Amino acid sequence: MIQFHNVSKTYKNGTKALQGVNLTIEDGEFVFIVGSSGAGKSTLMKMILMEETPTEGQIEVNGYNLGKLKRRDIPFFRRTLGVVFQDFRLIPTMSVYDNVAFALRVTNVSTKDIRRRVPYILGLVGLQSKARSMPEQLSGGEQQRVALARALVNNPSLIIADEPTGNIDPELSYEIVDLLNEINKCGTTIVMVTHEHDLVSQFNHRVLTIENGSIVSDNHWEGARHEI
Amino acid sequence: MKSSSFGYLIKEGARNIYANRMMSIASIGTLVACLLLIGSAVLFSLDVNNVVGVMESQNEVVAFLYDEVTDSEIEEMTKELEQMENVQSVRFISKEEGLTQWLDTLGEDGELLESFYEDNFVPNSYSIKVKDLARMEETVKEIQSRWEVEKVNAPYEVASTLTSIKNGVYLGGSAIVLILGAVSLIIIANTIKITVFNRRKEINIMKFVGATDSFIRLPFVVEGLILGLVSATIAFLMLWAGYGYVIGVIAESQTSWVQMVAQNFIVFKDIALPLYGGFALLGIGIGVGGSMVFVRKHLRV
Repeated sequence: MIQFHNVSKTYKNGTKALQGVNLTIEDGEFVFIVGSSGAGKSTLMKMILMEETPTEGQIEVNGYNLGKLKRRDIPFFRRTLGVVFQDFRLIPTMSVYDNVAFALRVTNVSTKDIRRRVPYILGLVGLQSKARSMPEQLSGGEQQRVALARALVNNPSLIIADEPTGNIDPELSYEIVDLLNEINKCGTTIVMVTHEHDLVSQFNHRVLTIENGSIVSDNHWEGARHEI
Repeated sequence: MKSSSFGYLIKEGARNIYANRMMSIASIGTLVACLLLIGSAVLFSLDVNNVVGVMESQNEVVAFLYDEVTDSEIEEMTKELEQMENVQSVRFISKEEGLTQWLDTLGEDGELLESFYEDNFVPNSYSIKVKDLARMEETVKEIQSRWEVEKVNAPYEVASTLTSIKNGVYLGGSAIVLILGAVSLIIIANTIKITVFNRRKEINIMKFVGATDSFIRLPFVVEGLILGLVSATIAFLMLWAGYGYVIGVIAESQTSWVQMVAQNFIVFKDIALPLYGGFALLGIGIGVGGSMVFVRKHLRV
């Protein structure tokens, strides 16, 4: 569950990225966050990931009160969520298998469990045959699926996807969101930032629209369509 | 931390060296060059000090005694001289021995003067070696002040020259080592900084998948340790080979004083262990310390 209580963020240069945001995302929801560039979408994501801290207000994610979280506890909080970035952020010197296994290794999972879990997750995203490939040998869509596998492998209750389709062909974008949709059906909460309205329109999920640092609409696609 | 994780981190450190081999080679190259410069400066200072030390030990103060000093007084005086703080050794030279030595220096002409043995004008004397040439003057004054002593001959000029060389080499050597050390640190710090900067993305990913700071840092530390140790070993072997070659070339010289100097150079094997230990400590210290400092900067995500 994600809760924002009256959250504001003003950067050091004076930019007001978020202003008085109140938001609740329940467990098991699939939420799209849309808005133009500079609207505050990225700041909102960074706050959920604890990459930025709010100037005002309180944030609670997966039972952690982020304002009270100590620096040394941040890694343990981050293990409860999976993150997918627009630029994939795969380690170029590691194979597909190792990129996914990496997320388990950093959390002290045993080698035996890694050998069991990684092939299963790669199978889930349809990349079992590419386990030994290097990231540069894969297409954009495949690289994003590796990133998704890495986000999924820890069995997180929440997946944060920051423009996951931004760097891949439109026809492959649907595949990625569809995969997220399937994961959501298993009970994982998905929060996805995007500016691709066509994509949002193909899935009947909750849509939050951010403009000038505030949430201007919070509807399912049918309702949001008129406001975007 | 589980032992499997620890093993993984060690393996990861070694793998990173290969995966980032260009930067690893650059780091090793820089570290080897710096260690070689520092090592050469240390060896040069040690050699000069050794040669000066040998020359020092060959310089003698000669104290001539009045003829009226009796044998028992000489015996007493020898004991007192030996107990003086700056005196290394005392050798009594009797009138007869003194004359023989003098005649020997004259060679064949000396044989004509053997009649002097009947009326020996050469006084009893002491040949005294001092420990510290810099304090020769005060030691000579103390010997001179004794009633038994008529005159003292001391190589003041040689002593002051040797003392100046020794002080100069000590100060110059220390300054060179310090400057090279500082320059090396700056160069190596920059190399490590670039290595870490090139991998900031990797560090960033680790942070987002929930790696703790120590988990992220350890492979870099292992990497620094391996690079430091490899650099120290390469620098040590190169210095060993280079030093052997230079000593060999100098020893082949036909000039006698050069040969004399070369004979008194330090034998590499005698200082091999402390030198390698120093190199390894410096290499590992810089590698590990540098990695830890610069990784920390990228951990604040």
